[in-house]
Amino acid sequence: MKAITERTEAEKSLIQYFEQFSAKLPGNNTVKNIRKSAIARFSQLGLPHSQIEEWKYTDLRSIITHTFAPPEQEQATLDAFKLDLQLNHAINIDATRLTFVNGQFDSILSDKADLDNFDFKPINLALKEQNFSNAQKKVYTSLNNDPIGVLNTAFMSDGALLNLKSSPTKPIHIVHVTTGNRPAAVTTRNIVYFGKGVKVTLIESFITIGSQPTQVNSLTQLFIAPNAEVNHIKIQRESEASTHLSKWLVNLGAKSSYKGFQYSQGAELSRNEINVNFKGANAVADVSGITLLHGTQHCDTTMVIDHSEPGCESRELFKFILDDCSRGIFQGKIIVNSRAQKTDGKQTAQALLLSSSSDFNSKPELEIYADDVTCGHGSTCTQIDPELVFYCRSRGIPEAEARALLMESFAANALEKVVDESISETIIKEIRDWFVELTTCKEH
Amino acid sequence: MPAVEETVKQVKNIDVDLYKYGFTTDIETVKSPKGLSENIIRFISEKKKEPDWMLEWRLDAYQRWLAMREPSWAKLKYPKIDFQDLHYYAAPKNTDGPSSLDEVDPKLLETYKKLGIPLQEQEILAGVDKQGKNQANRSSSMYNKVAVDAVFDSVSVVTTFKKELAEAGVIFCPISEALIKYPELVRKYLGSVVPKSDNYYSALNSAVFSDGSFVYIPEGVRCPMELSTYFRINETNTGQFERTLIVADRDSYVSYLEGCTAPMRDENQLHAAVVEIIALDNAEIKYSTVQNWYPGDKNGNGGIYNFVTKRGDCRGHSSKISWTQVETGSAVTWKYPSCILRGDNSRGEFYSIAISNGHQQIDSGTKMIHLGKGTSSRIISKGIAAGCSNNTYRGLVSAHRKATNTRNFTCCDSLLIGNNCGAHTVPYIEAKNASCHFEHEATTSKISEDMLFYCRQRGLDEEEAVALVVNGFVRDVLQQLPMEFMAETQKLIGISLEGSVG
Repeated sequence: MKAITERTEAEKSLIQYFEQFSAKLPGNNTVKNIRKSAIARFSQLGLPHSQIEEWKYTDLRSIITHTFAPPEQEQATLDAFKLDLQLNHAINIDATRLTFVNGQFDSILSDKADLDNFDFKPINLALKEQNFSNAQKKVYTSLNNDPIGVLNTAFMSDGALLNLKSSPTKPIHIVHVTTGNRPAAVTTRNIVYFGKGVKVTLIESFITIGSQPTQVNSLTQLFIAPNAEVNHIKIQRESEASTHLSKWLVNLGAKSSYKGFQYSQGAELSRNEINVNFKGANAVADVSGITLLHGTQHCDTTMVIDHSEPGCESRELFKFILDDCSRGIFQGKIIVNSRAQKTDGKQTAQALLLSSSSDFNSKPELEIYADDVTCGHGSTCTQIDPELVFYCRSRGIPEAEARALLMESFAANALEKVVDESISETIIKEIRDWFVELTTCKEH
Repeated sequence: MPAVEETVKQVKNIDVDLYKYGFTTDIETVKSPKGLSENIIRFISEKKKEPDWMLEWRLDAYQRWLAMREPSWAKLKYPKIDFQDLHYYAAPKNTDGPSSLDEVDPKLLETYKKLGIPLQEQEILAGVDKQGKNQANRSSSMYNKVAVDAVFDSVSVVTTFKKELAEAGVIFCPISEALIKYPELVRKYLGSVVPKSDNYYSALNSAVFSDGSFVYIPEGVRCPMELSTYFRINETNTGQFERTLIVADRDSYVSYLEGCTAPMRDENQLHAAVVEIIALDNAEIKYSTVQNWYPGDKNGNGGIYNFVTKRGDCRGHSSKISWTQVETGSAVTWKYPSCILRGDNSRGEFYSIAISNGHQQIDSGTKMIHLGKGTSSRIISKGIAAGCSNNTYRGLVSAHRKATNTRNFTCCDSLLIGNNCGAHTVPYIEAKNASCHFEHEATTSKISEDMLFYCRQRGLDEEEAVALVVNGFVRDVLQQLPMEFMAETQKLIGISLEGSVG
């Protein structure tokens, strides 16, 4: 079906911004050409809308009415103290920090001393290298049909390029800060190579400081070599004026292990896409997440797990707690190709609805072409069991506390997936704060 | 765990090249010219001696159909259908509408006999009797009467037990007859569940439907026997477009069965039916289908394209609609029997066994739309894919903002036999209400070790033990079938689901 549609104002302005800013975006001629074909592709595709199955519940074409220009190349007005304050909880994680302010690498706010231990380069420098930019052509082609991926290619300003040949002593923490002084669109891309047998914990956190609306488009590509073990955690606490579009592309080598976790609490509109591709046999992927929403927040978690090699295992567990008029969406898909025998896949999405105006949509999908596999999915959706609340209250626990307790226990088995204790403690603190905020709001 | 041998054998037995009902009946027919236009619709309407409003209704549907596009979202691949290359009306000569048994062409009676649907009333004691041997063991109390409406290509050739049904106040007749005899009833309900422009195929059906059954169960009546319609496509290059309308008035009950077969032909044939069922306060309707259209040959040539819209409306409080389907035929199946749970405390059920073999493609499932308070629904679906087939379950469970205290339980399992087929599950769950309780699961029916151990300890070998456990497992769908179909279906299915994928 080829219908020629009128482009919306937002789509038009994105194309216009590209014309205006493309000269300032980093990269050599190869990259410039890739960017040009990317924006040309975008002008064909436009923003995704509900007629596209993958975007059924998140109609960006109608939701996004305004778009913003990439941020000006200003010297960031952010000092280490202010950043620490913002990161308050996450700061407790002892990690090597790489900080990007408004989509630009900030060496002052990053742990330079640690950086010498491994191969790191900001993407904006890498984009000037011929080898790297040639390799980006392939990436671009693979994203060709994804309007958001295409936009990321057109506008990406910076990000982390990491090549980890040995296991670092500390987790690596990529911090994406948006100052939010003025409306801006921040586009970043991270590419991380994990060498054979390395063990790494990689954290990505997204925060905003100011209150101006921002649009974040972040794409992270992971290449995991055989036998490597990777823990990958995302903490998204952007302001409620922001739009957060993120995509993880994970490639798993043979016998490697990948544990991904996403904690989403911020942003008015967020879309977390996770694509896991098994490139070698007997690998294990375990992806989970907790989403807490209130007000009119909208969070869409869309995931594709592609089993193309035999003997791999995948597990997904996503928990949503939805209050007020918020909307949670889970779309999971497990594909098992005919050669992926002995696949073991399971996905679960569960939602707890706290308000009668909240809304949960779930689509756990299976597409299976191999006969000797074990695959399953489950999805539940309910409210807090009043009998359990009564049980707690009959034992002297006040109602609000009882509810918080039950919500915490609901989220707990997803949180258990985070192996690093300091990180899981950080997250549980976030969750508890959210509950407290919830009850105080209700009381007033 | 791959399928056990027994399963493989049983699926082979119902493989496409063993299609039993592929014969043709050599009978003179009256056909409309090929193609679809307003004139053809007028022709059909005139043939049926329909009231004027019906013709207008059809023409309106046709205009809407013209403006619509063929849906492409299903996981089905088939060449574009040329809607102008079909006869939209084909009827055996001399059967202008329904007639008494004595008037029916003996050739037709012969056909139905061959299909195992004896139309002689005295012989119908055993219902749809194909299981001579099996039934010998069954107690005579199981033999129920079944009233049959036999639809041959575009017309209903005979309806049995009319008199006995009439005594109970039940109306069971071809819809073309109902349009003449009970126009106000038909007019009130037709298109009220599946509107003309609901979808592409329902619009097409609304424009050209030729026959089908009409059932009305009056208030407080429990229908004294099973009602059944048997659809047969015989003619080449025809499409069958039947329309079924069942209305169960307050406090009534009816169980309805539907069966279908077609001859083996090289070209694909189109079947686009619409079934609307309406249950008023406290009424219960049980609708069972054994769909066994010609599935095409080994290489995927020929077969029926089955695009069916089935929808039930639980309009009254505490009403209940239950769909049971056994899908083994058709080259392409596009079918989603659904329930609109409008009345408070109403209940919808969907039980399905879909078996695809050869090059068959099935995209089937259900929609449970919870609108009323305290409504509940249950979905049990078992899909089995073999050969080069693709078998998709696609379902929607949704709860409206005001539908408080709704419940749904969904369980869909599928099993693959061989490495060239695919089994897919596409469930949509939409909850707009905190007090709804939705559970969806796709159990990977690995049989528990304990159960197996228990059986083996008592001297069963592993295969037998698996078969035993599995039989119990499929039972929850089989049990929903009326007794008459159960034996046949059991034979068709007695299939194990171990090693199945969700």
